Amino acid sequence: MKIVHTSDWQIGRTFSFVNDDALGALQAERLNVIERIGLLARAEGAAHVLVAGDVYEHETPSEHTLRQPMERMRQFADISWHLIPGNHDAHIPQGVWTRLLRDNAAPDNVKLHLDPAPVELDAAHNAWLLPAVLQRRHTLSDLTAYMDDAPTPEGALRIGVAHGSVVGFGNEDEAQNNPIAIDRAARAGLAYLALGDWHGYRQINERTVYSGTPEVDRFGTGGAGGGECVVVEFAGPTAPPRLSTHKTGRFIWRKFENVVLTSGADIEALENRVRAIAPEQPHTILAWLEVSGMLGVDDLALYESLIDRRLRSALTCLRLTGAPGLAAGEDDLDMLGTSGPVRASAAALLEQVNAGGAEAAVAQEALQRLFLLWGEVRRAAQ
Amino acid sequence: MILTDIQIEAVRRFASPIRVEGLGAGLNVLAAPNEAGKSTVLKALRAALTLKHGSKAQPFKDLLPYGGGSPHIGVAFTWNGQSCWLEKKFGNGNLARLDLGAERFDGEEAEERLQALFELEKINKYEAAGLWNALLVEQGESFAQPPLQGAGRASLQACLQQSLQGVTGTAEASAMLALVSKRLAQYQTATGKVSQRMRQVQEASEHAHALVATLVARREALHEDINGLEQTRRMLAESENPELRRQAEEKLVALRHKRDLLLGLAAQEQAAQAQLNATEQNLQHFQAEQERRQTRRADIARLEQALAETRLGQTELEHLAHDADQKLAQAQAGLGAASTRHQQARATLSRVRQRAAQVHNQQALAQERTAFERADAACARLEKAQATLRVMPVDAAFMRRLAKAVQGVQQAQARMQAQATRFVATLQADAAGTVWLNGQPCPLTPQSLTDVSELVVDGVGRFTISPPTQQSEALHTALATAQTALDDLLGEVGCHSADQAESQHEARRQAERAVEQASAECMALLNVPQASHIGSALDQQRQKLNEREALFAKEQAAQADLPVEDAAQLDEEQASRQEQDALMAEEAARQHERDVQSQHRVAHTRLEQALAQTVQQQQTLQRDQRELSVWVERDPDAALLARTSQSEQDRRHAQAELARIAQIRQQEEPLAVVEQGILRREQDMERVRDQVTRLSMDKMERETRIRQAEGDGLDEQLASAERHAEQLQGELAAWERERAALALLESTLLKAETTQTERYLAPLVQAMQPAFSALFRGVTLEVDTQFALTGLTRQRAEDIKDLSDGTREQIAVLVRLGFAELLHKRGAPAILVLDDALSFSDSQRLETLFDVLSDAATRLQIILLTCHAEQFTPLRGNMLSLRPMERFEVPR
Repeated sequence: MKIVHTSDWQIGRTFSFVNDDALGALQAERLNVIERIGLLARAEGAAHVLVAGDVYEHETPSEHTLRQPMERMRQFADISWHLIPGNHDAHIPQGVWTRLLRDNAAPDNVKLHLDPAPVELDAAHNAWLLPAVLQRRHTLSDLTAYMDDAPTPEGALRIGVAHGSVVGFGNEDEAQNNPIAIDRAARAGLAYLALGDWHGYRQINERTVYSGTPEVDRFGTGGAGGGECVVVEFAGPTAPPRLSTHKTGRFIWRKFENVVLTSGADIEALENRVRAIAPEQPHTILAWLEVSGMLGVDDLALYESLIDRRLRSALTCLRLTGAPGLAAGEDDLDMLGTSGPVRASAAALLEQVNAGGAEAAVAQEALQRLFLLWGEVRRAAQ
Repeated sequence: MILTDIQIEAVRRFASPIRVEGLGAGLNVLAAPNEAGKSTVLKALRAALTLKHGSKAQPFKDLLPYGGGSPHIGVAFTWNGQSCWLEKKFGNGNLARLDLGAERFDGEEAEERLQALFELEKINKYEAAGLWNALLVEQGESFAQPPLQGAGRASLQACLQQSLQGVTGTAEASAMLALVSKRLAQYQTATGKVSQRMRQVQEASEHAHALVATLVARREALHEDINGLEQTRRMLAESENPELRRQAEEKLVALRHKRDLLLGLAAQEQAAQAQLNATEQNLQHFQAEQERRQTRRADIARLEQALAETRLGQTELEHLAHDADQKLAQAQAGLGAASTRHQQARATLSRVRQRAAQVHNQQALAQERTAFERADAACARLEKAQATLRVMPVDAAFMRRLAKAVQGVQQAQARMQAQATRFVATLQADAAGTVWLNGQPCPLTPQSLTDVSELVVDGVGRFTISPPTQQSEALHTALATAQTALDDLLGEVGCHSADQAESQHEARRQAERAVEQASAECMALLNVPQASHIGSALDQQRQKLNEREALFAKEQAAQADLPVEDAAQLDEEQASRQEQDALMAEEAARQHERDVQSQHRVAHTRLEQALAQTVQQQQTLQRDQRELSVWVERDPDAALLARTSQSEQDRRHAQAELARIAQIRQQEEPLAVVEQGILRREQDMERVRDQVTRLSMDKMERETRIRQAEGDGLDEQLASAERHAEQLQGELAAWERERAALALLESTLLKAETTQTERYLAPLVQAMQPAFSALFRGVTLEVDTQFALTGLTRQRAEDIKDLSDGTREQIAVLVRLGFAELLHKRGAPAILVLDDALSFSDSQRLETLFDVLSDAATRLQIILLTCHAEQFTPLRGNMLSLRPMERFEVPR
């Protein structure tokens, strides 16, 4: 028996640092990935897909957002989709699950597990699903605890699915909310405990796994990175499951920390590093550059040209934190002529920059613009 | 550059074409009287250079000729060794033409080339300006230094740049500054305020944050609704709990059953009580009937005894009434005799009183007759005096008329005397008798001669004295008239003189007094207020007296017919006493009769009462006996006794039933308590129903709101709004960084440009210094960055504005000359035209200025327009004139 384990779709998520076009593309892709998951299940011969919580980003999504993933799953009638609430879409009164039930919005192949009790997965009584149900955003009790005593037929395959933080592997702060015992699978006789909450794939033990989000949604995903689903194959009720991860994400999120630029070569190298993430599809890249360093006048113009204009246009999102400073010296001033008000102004600004203090940053910006505008003036004069 | 020809047509005072004749290199002086058109020439020259040919603005209107027409201006000049021609026509048929040597430019192209040649810059649609505005100095402008802007400053800067080796970048700085200012304008205005665009972003950011706040509030409201909905549902479930409702309904049914039981007992009790009441009522009725019959029988026995006693007393009373009748008849007879005697005494007294009254009336009549006779005599005297008065006509009115007539005569005489000739004769003693006046001896007293008089002196002759004849006749006539009037008046009363009239008047006054006395006496006697009533009063009195005397005579005759009796011998007092005695006797008899009458009435009243009592007792007895027999006949006494016994048994039975019911009720709850319990439970169930309704409404409302919020996707909206607000915030921050950088760059560039400009000023001062040194020995100049001379230092620093008008004008002219020198030095076209300048300069300064201008004129053309020809004669320049032309001549 095979299942596909996924979680943290968070349909309806917004991203503040991207423009409107990129936002639309990212949101659309979080729906498109459902189709890829369904295709993966078919390809792997898995009849069930377990979604371990956080299907939705918000407790009160719009009607459109509420129904969109249901309609995507409806297209895969041969596959059973098993959904449980997460901390983002907890089963609160009048929450998304109530609305889906009330409006009969979930297709027949989508199972909403809203009660903490064993559910039969197949007609032969060989496999049972034990869902943990979050009924509020945060709880301090372990909702998987009931699985220890949950009755299932003798010899049946017991698969747990929960959303929360496993306690005891270095995430104690996070595990204060929605805790899950690290040995729950063993204590409850589970063949597999499918977990959600972490957005990157993470295997806690041979039977306990975080699948991560199928479409990456942040730069610091954690774990082994997101954009994957887990295919779990069961050889029997007690045998360890065989796990395999499969890439489902389309966008690649990458953060470059402490990028120091001191020359034109550094700039070109940086561009190449970013493009190297997906050389053929740079438009699938979201890059966050933490830039610092000092550049000469020409190199600064090069930075603006290569990074701030060219690379930004190539990527879905280029997020810049910090900027290289202008390393202008007396030699750079010569390009402004040997005398005249412009050179005098540049010299005065440079002096303010060198003096440091609160005004230095503004002077630095003013000096950069002086050099940039000087180029425009010269070009216009020619 | 040298102007060689200026032609003007249809400009202000020049309706016909004129030409400025005599223009040449160096100094040129156009000396002409006021209103000859000098200023018009300068205006035309300035318009040709700076005003576009298509202009319709005010400068064009200022050019219009007084008689109408299209201003037409032509200027010929040499430049870089080639002949040039500038021609402009404004208004109808406007044109612009510029010939630069062999090149010709027309229309807009000519305008552009002109502006380029003279370094002019458009300041509006139709005008351009530059340093040339400072070189064409109109009347009155020479007192102020030229203000420089835009192209003017640029021209000057270009001049100074050229003269300063090694100083560069001014143009780039200006371009840079313009670029920075343009970009900065996206973020802030020229005054440093936030730009419209940035303000829009700020407002959008505020709106976004407000939207976030609104959505957060809505989300909180939604959570409250969700929580409230759960609570409502729980309460609703509790309220609608069927088990609780069933228990409540069962309890209510039990209570209602008990209430019905208690109500049945109450009805039984009420019936038993009614039975008891009816039985007791019957019993009371029967017992009352028995008592009534016993009472009635006792009454009958008592009445029979009383009737027997009443009949005995009635006989005795009949005897007493008969005695009273006899005594009453005797008293009435005594009263009749006393009344007769009293009537007789009263008649006697009356007759005595009649006789006394008759004597009294007789005496009164005699007195009245005497008074009447006295009055009658007085009336006779009055009539006599009145008759005497009527025959005397001289009364007071006549005397006033007489006095007036006498006064007229006297006045006429006096006027005549005033006109008379005074004649006084004094005769010697021996002449007496020898002199005669009017035939009479000449009087020795003064005479007034009013008529012609004749004086005869014996032995001498006759003298005729003629008084003045003037008015003599009129005076005589007046005197005669007055005298005649007097005589006529006297004749009316039959008098011959005034004295006689006065005597008659005195006699009349005595007669009037006699009439008055007689009249007063008559009025007193007859007692009338006015004399006119005297006659009628006398007649009335006479008639009344006669009537009373006739009446008295009639009474006497009647009295005489009465018989003489004893009473006639009595006086009134005696008769009165007898009458009083009879009256008292009558009163005593009447009182006795009244007493007897009262006793008689008492006796008969008692008798009648006894008779009535007997009748009443008999009737009452008969009625009681009749009623008693009816009662017994209708309900025999034995039957009544049997019913009374039956009623006593019924009462005991009802009392026993009531006691039984009371015993049962003591074992049950009171009906009020049971009913209160039912009411309380019914209200409780009603309250639950209301609560269910209310909770259902609340649930429905909350569900509606929640559904609405769900449909809106509140969380998504909030996330989107927060993202939008965050982006706007970031945009604002970026813009602010950009604005701060550009503002700093702009201020730095401005500062650097100013510093650079200050460096340019040295050559400017250097260019102007020789001319200034010639005029002001040892002077040093101070020029600001706007190229204005702000001060000079001779012995000490002096502010320009503190100098005299003449000195400031000289300085302004020298500054303009310096500008022209700079332009010329740079190889640009330059001349200097001064209209009516330097008129305030003293002769020594003027001489020096002429030297300075003469020196400058060796390098550039200077044109002076003045109305003081004698002052500018020493300049010895080209003397210009305005010469009319037949037509505008365009050079070939």
